Amino acid sequence: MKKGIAMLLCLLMITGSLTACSSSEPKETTQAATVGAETTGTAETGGAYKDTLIVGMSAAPQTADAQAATNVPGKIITKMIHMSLIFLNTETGELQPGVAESWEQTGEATYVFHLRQGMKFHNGEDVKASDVLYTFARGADNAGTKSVLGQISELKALDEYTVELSLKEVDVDYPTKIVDPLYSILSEKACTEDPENGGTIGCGPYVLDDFVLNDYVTMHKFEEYWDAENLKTNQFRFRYIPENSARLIALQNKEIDVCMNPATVEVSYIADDPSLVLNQMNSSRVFYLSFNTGSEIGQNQALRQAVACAVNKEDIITVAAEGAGAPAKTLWSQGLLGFYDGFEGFSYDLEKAKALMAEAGYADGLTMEIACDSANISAVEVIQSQLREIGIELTINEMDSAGLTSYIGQKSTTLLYNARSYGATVEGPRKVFVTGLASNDAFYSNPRVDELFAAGGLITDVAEREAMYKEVQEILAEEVPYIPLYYGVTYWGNVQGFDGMMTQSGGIFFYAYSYVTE
Amino acid sequence: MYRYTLKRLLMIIPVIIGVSLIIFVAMDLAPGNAVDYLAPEDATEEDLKLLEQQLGLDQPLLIRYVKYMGGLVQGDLGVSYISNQDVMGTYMDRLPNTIALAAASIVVAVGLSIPLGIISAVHNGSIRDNLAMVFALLGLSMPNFWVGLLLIIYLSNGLGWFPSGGFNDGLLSLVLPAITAGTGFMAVITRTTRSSMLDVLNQDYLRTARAKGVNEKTVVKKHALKNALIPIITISGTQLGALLGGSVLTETVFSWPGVGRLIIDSVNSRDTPMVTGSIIMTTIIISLLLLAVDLLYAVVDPRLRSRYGAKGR
Amino acid sequence: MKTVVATEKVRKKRTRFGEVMHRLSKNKGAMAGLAIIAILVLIAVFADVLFDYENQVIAMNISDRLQGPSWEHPFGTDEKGRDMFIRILYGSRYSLAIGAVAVLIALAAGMVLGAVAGYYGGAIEEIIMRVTDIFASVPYMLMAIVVISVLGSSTLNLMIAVGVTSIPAFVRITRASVLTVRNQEYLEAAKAIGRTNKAIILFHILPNCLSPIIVQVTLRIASAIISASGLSFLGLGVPKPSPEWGSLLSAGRGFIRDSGYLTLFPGLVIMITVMAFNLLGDGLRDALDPKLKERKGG
Repeated sequence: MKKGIAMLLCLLMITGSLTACSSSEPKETTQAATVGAETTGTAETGGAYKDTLIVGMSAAPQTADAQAATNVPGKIITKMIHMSLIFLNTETGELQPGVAESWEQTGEATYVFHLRQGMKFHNGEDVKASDVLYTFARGADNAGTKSVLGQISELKALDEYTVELSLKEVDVDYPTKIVDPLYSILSEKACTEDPENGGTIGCGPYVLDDFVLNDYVTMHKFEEYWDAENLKTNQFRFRYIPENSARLIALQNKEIDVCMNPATVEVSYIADDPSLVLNQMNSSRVFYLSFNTGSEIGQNQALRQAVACAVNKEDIITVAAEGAGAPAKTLWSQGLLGFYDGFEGFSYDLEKAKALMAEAGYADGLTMEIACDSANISAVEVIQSQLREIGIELTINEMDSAGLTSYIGQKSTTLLYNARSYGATVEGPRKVFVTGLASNDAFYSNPRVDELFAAGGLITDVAEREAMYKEVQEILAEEVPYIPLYYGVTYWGNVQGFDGMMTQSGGIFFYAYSYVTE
Repeated sequence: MYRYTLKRLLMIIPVIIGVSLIIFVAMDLAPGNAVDYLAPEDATEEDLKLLEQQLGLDQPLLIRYVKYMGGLVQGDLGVSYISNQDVMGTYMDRLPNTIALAAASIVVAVGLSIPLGIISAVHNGSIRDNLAMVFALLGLSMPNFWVGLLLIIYLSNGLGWFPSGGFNDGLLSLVLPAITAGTGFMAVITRTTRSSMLDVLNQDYLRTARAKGVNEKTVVKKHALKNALIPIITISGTQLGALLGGSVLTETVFSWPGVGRLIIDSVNSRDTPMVTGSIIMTTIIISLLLLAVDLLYAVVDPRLRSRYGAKGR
Repeated sequence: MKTVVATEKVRKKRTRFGEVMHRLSKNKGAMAGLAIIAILVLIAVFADVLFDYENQVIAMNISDRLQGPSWEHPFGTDEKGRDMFIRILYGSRYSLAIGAVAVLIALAAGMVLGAVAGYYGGAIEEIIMRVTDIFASVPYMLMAIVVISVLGSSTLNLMIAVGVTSIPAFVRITRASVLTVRNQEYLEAAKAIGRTNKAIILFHILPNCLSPIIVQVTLRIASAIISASGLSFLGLGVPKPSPEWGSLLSAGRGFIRDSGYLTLFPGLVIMITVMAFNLLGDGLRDALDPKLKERKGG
């Protein structure tokens, strides 16, 4: 009899899940049509806008202090509250005024910024040249901002609203670098009065109300913001909802207006719902394998090439990204200056892989370790099964992200599965390829590559720079310290009538001008 | 009685020292530290050192621990490495959510368990007894997070009865998390209810009552349940203690901003002060709760009161 | 003297054992649980004979991914094209092993500490019990999370993490049982014939307080399987590609709406297994508790 009730329950659940199965059949097709339809539904009337816009985030911001928020969710928040000297319009690639109304390059490595007069911080103070000086000095000792601000040789106030910035060395990309919310201008008064929370007071479009770690962040419109009349939403609430399905259902239930990073398997639920809109964007995030070129196995170039030939990128994309991704041939992001993948390279070819294995001296196969973040375990499992074909037995060492970062630093892994988002400048790839730099997971060193990057930072001629970076990518394709796998696709879903959000480089979404028409 | 209470309160102190030491050392042994979490993707070796200095992580473990304990003595649980916010404040922000969820879960668990326990005791050995016990076991046997996801899919998304998570809709938003966390405790409470009811039902005074012609329903309701309540209260109290530690899985599935979620997020970001402080607070609260349950027990049952009294003397 | 004690014990034990088995066999729930466990153990033991691990359990077939249940794949295929039926059957190895080893770890540590505390008393008891209190006061899931963060995730570490959280329970039960038998006559006898303390604890005390421990072992295996699945959900489970049930359930949750069978079957298997252990444990508890029998009789 006990079995009876158990059976009954089983039956109930089976029918439940079967109805779920059958309803899934006709979904896939409509998806493409809906994607990109984001601009529809924005009424010209300018009538009523939803008072409070709620965004569901998949990862939690760490802090609202502009100089301490180094992760993407953190920057999404600080971008709302703070403002940097310059704003980058990623659609046009054009630099636009921010705190600085205008600027000019007065010497090879000298810039003069004219601040917007009458601009105010949230504490009511005027934004002045002294605040810029204070902000950059504060950030000079800060891990997240130190390297870029350390390039400054001298910073002085020419008058109350004019700042002159000189660099130690020429860097043609410098104005683009300080676009990042990390270099937002802070109030000297606020920071000195309250060193702990002063960094959360900015001069951006929204004022921070509540910051509850790992839960939510709320903010309201800054009425004295210089462009306040164009802000259509009065309040924002950013909610951290870690579980993918729960976040998506929250959107379907209209508990939130925007659902960031829905699980790729479930995006069809957004596409199929007439009251929702699915958006997608090729992300700047590249997934890759990297060898520790300092290790005994990793320094074997033929072996690295063999692995590159054994990896089937399409299958990885199918499983890890549900098909939403583009295979990558170079560890450079699409659209970034110098992007090139016209070379032959080592593509999927098992015969060639086996031959290279023999050449490498591992005809009988070998065992090696691969480290990865638990978020990427699915892809790594596919790679594990692919490499088994050429006799490589992978032991997976799955870690959380803090564990992984420290593990990479200790140079203790042979193979690593990782992903990287590049910003708006070649600084991203430079740090990955140049000897001894921070993001060089492969501990790769090639004097020619170092030389090309050094030279590339000094010249402004685009064609000339492109040629240099092309050579870099050709060298890397031959030597294979990294195996680029695929470019991810970023999805987000929102309710009908939502518009005005701007995507920024490095995966940051800028919500300040977004709104929902009622 | 007072001395017993005092003794129990004093016992919390070594427990705090022990717990903090274990957690502190464990967090230090874990690979990586807060710097690895905080540092931007492209931080240099030098940047990391600097950040380590700023957080005081460059000092040896022992010194950090002594410093931490120094603060603890003054009731200072330290400041989060990640958010730079006061640990006590952050914990206290979360605690009401956890208490609400724990209380609601216990209500669900007790509300289902007592009827089940009574049914199975009254029909001892019959099919109904067995069915009731299997039903009580269901909540315990299904992985928590799976139950939670199924509830969200069918009751929140499918029928639209409840919100999918968070705590913005008052009592309504408590329902699904409370069912998810509460059903897991059904088995223990039902089992206790059943055996304590069996105990009472066979006692002489009830036989007398029956003999006098009082009908069975009244016997169960009026006499038996009242006397069987003490063990039920005790067991529910200890279960409540377990819930106050935070139901990590339930909180994750329902993005419920409780203590359990706070602790696991802090473990992932290697936020040692936050992890240690939160676990210390949780330990204190659970210890106090268990003490309260014991004292309540003593108040309700005079026989025990004399035992504690004797111990005290 | 020695022989008298020994035969006396054997006789007593056999009759008691027989009595317990008799009572247990009358409990249908417990017998159903026992049958399910027996089948699972058989599957786990012979999984290697039944299936080819390399080709059937972990080999991927991307073109065959996310197929619903059919005759060919009774439980469907997962997102990597692997047969769920085979993976679940094979996974019994991991899940049962995790449950059993975790409890063994807890049992070994808990019984020794509890027996020592109960037998010697005094300062040793005080220290052991206080340390036990400390461990017991940290919520078990948090304890397991911290342990895995320290040790890193591997199958053995998962077993340790889950096991550690059960130690306090075994320490307390063993100590309590030891206290009840500590002053009984046969111990005096054993002491009189000059057996060492270790031998007394091992051969005389522990066998006599086994019944609550057996019950606890059965119930703890069930909770260990559940805990392991919870840790998998949090990304702290067994390394891939092992088809442990918790990790199957957790891996399928991304597909819970479109391909519900990916979570349904692992979930049901966990549920049935855990329930089987619980029914058996409850049955054993009733069968081993003579008080209850009297009560029923009266």
